[in-house]
Amino acid sequence: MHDEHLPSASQQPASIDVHSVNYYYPGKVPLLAITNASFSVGPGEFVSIIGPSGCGKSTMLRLIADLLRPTSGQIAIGGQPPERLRRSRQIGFVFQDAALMPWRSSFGNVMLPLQVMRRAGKEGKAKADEMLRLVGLGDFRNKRPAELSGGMRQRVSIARALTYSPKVLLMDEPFGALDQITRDEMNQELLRIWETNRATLVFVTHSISEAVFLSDRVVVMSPRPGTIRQSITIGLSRPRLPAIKHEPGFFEYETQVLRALEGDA
Amino acid sequence: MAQVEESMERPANEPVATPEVAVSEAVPGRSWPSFRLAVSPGSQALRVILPLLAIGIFLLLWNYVPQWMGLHSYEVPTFSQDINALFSEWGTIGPNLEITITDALVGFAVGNLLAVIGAILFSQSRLIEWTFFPLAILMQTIPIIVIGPVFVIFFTVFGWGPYDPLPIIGLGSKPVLGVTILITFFPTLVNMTVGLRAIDPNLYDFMRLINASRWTILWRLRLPSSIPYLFSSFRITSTLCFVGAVVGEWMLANNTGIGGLINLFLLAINKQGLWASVLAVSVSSMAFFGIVLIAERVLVPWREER
Ligand SMILES: Nc1ncnc2c1ncn2[C@@H]1O[C@H](COP(=O)(O)OP(=O)(O)OP(=O)(O)O)[C@@H](O)[C@H]1O
Ligand SMILES: [Mg+2]
Repeated sequence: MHDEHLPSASQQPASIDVHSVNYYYPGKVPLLAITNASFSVGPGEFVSIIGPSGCGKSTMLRLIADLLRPTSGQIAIGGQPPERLRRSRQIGFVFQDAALMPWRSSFGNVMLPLQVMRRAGKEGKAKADEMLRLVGLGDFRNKRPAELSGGMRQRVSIARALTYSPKVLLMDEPFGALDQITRDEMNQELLRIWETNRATLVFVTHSISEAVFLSDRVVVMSPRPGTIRQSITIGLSRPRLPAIKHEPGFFEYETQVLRALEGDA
Repeated sequence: MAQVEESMERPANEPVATPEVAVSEAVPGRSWPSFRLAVSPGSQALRVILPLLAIGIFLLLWNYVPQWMGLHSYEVPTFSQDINALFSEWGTIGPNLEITITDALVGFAVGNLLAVIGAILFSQSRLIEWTFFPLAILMQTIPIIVIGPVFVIFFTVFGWGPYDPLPIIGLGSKPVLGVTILITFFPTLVNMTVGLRAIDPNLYDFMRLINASRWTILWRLRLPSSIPYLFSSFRITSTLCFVGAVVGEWMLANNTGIGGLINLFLLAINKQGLWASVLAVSVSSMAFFGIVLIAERVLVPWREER
């Protein structure tokens, strides 16, 4: 219904290369969170990371986003260090709890990155409104987060991450706190949004069916210290509709991911 | 614009700031859904009627209980006598009340302003915070009765006589202002320091992600996050500043302001006058407290009452 103003991706999506990364959380006894992790994500690819709780999925996203620095190993985004991309504001991030400013309206929250980038003029405002419409919140632009449902807040958070057209979009269990019905709806929406804004997307989840439904590839991590156990290409055709979940191929991929998680792939 | 980079000021892998000072209430302003009970119009009315009823009963008790207990009205004057005195002595009370209100409000404004500036400095440098925050807490524990006279002596020694009008504002007396500034300064300093640090760690990460400068993080994240904490402090300091003003004037003992009047009325054994002047200050400070509450409602609409 909002497709008349499709935003054009002004940035080319970039590839992500993670090469033998180790990460210790500092402390009296440093904690090894990620060990010898290597994987890559092609430009415009949708990759899910799945793994048991505490295996280092969030840590991995933070490393890619340059919110943490690897203890050893290299990460490159489009051949450049993540710091370069973060500084030029080409990384988008969606947090599990939306992380919106409670004192700002939906519109204000989506405007935040543009204000920080000093692009809050007429064009910026139009862009923010366009993004709100893209995520289906055109009518809620003046509502504060407290006046929105959990799913709507996540939509605002996605719109906020998309306003500045990042080359890569990182999502850390964005729908983890939602009920199953809303979650399925949001998955559907996310695919629609991603298909119109082909950013490289890394999506962290606990849910096997979510991972299979959304992704081109599912990267399976081992328990802590996290490492990459397997990378499973999902050969299901796009666009994907909810009905695909009932196809035998879908079950097969789910089983494959489950096996990899259990460690006997 | 100089992009001072906040993320570079600390090791990149340090876990993101979480408020390290325990706060007695839930972090205000979070966008969690609130499960507030539905407030019907009837219970809104109750919220006005019940406190008025409590105050009314208290005043009635004040009026009659001392008499029942056999106390004479010159020992504990009845409330109605105090009200009468308020009118009959208004010629004396009025101008002095004006002085006290000025001392209280100017102290409130200056004390809070200095405290906010101090807290911002703390929030920008751990070193400054580590150095001075414990001192601030220590200062807060010293009773005003002890520190007040120090101010009086300090200001007098520097040749600023007690009655010199404040040169800039042209009102108030310096030693008393010293007390009211001091008494409002510390609660706000402590609250604001906590508030400026009590930011949503994910929002802080988002600001770093979009390469926001230290200044931008202060202006767009820390300051708005801290406003509910500022108002928590206002609730305290809006009445404290009146206490400070009266105590300051009383200690100065130069017969100005309500504090000075209290001395005079005590000497003259005019208890009606004494209570009338206290009543005048109480009503003024309650009115100011009310203004602060209304301002909070208007300015912090995202704060959820829990
Ligand atoms: N700031 C931190 N300081 C120290 N250790 C941490 C910190 N954050 C996470 N860890 C530890 O690092 C490991 C990986 O954490 P991480 O948050 O990346 O896991 P996760 O895979 O995202 O888990 P979940 O699925 O529960 O979100 C955990 O064992 C955790 O205890
Ligand atoms: Mg996590």
